[in-house]
Amino acid sequence: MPILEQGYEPYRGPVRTGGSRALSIAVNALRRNRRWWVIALLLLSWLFGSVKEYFMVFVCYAPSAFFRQAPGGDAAWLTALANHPNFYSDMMATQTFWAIVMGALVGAGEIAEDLRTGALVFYLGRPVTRLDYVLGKALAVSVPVVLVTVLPVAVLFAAQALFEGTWTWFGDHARVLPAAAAYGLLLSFFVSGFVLGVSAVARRRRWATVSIVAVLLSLGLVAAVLAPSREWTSHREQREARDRILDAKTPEERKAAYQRLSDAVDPLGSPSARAEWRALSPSASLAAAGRDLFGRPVPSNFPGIRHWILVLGAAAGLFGVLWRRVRAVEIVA
Amino acid sequence: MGTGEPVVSLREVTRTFGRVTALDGVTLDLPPGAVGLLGPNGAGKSTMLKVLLGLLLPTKGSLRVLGVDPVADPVGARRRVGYMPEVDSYVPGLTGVESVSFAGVLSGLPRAAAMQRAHTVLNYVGLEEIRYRKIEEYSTGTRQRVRLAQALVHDPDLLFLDEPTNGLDPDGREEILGVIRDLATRHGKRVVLCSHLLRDVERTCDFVILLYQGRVARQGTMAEIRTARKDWYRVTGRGPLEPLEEALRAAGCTAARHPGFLLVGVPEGTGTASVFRAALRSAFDLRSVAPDEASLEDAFVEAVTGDGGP
Repeated sequence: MPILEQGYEPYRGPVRTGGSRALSIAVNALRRNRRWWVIALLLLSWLFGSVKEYFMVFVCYAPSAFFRQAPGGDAAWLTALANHPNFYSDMMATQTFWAIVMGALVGAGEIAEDLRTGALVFYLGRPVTRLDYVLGKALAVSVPVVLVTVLPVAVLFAAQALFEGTWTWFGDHARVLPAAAAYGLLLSFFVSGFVLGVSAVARRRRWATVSIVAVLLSLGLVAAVLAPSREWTSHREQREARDRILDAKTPEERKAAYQRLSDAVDPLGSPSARAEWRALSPSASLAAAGRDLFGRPVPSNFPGIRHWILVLGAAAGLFGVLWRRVRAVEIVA
Repeated sequence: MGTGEPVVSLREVTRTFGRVTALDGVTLDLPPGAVGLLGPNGAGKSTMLKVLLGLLLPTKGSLRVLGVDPVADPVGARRRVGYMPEVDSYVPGLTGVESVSFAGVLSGLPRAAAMQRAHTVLNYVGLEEIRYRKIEEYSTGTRQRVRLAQALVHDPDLLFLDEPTNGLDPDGREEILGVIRDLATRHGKRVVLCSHLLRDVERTCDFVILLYQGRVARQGTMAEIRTARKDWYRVTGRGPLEPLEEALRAAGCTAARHPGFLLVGVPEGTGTASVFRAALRSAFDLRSVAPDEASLEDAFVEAVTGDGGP
């Protein structure tokens, strides 16, 4: 059809003056990320991250549910373990890795590609503020993070509550859901800030992804070398820690030796003298912050509130980078 | 806002970037209809559009767009304005129709209405089945049409079009200029066309503003601007140039040296007689006096300084 034949028609429909543009930006980004490999990764994260927990719940509760007999004997510890609130914080710590992976793969291109194609001008030339844009993009990264972390915990909680839903049980687990939600928020803030900040200084999705992986790996590696965790240390060191308990002469020495052993066997702890360097690993710092939220103690040699400062500081700093980049594009484009 | 009121008004608007002054005390009122914003690269056209859109804050001065202060309420100003940027700007991974529809959603249209409206404006700008392909696969000209459709999707009162014919073939250029003219004349849209191409502005606009080095060099209707233009000639020959230049100035002409020729502006309607007389008076050996198609830059310098050369 030749141009102009159609004629121009004025729009007479409704126009929303309020409403969240950020939400529209997030929805659009999520739609674009609706790819088979994202869904496969989501399923994989649920499978690998949660299978242990779900399996335990199944082992503990399925017999009583189907055969009306409670598990006993050797299986009793499973019930206790599955019922323990620590179960949820451990599960979320496991899922932290997947949250970062999902966030990196989904969000790495969000700002980089917008910078490359001039999409920032597309957004900001409309009734959209910089805050709308940044919030929309952060929301787009946060949704998969929440799906990977909070959703499985909520489903597990619901499953356990179905079988064990007594007032005592709810009292014991009262902190779980708020803590899981708070940890989900913290993870969303960190992952979106980190991923979008790095994406804002890259010009291609590929480079942004590589940069994110490189930064995370190198930080984790430095932390692991300087302050090896339980998995990285030999059993000899753990044995030595046990021997110190036996050799202790005073109650104070014994208490200190117990603490040292506890730290040595804690997945977050390190028997190393430079244990404070564990906080350099983003996943360890996030897991430690998660423990605080769940009201679970972190290893004594884990550095105070430094993990909070690192997690929140890094995310806020990278959000700052993103903010400046968005401003710069307004001026240059 | 009444019909007689200016669409856009600026009062002593200055915008600096460090030591560079992009806009220097600009004061103007844009009337309704199609207005051309002309200027060479770096004249401050795009900066002015960004200030009008509220994307940049003015260093000094005040402004209003359709009665709204874009400094105080940038979102409110952008709600009533359609902006077609000069640079490539698309959301990756979207088809043409999705992109226009998304622009509508961001401008406040409900999702279903935005999609319907996207098809309407894509029909209007002449984008057919290709609208279902991803924008990454489009040619430059097709992307221009999509950008125009994005600017039109929410049916704005005012359109800011930044170099809308860049990268278009002659037919495409004519079509887009036809659309702009149609919007301004038949559909009552206020259009600000930003261009460095004199012909585009001549084809579409009634009012023109000449920007040069961040200042308004001249403004007026097309007829007024044309009347003020001088005739230009390229003069070559042998001999000292200084006496010739002096003689030309004495005859009311302007002269500027260029590699291989002297660009001479003569008062309109006087022809080449004053050039020949000046050459005779200064004993300059003339080889050729050829009409020069005045470039836009020439027109600007003429408007700014009132004398010859670029």
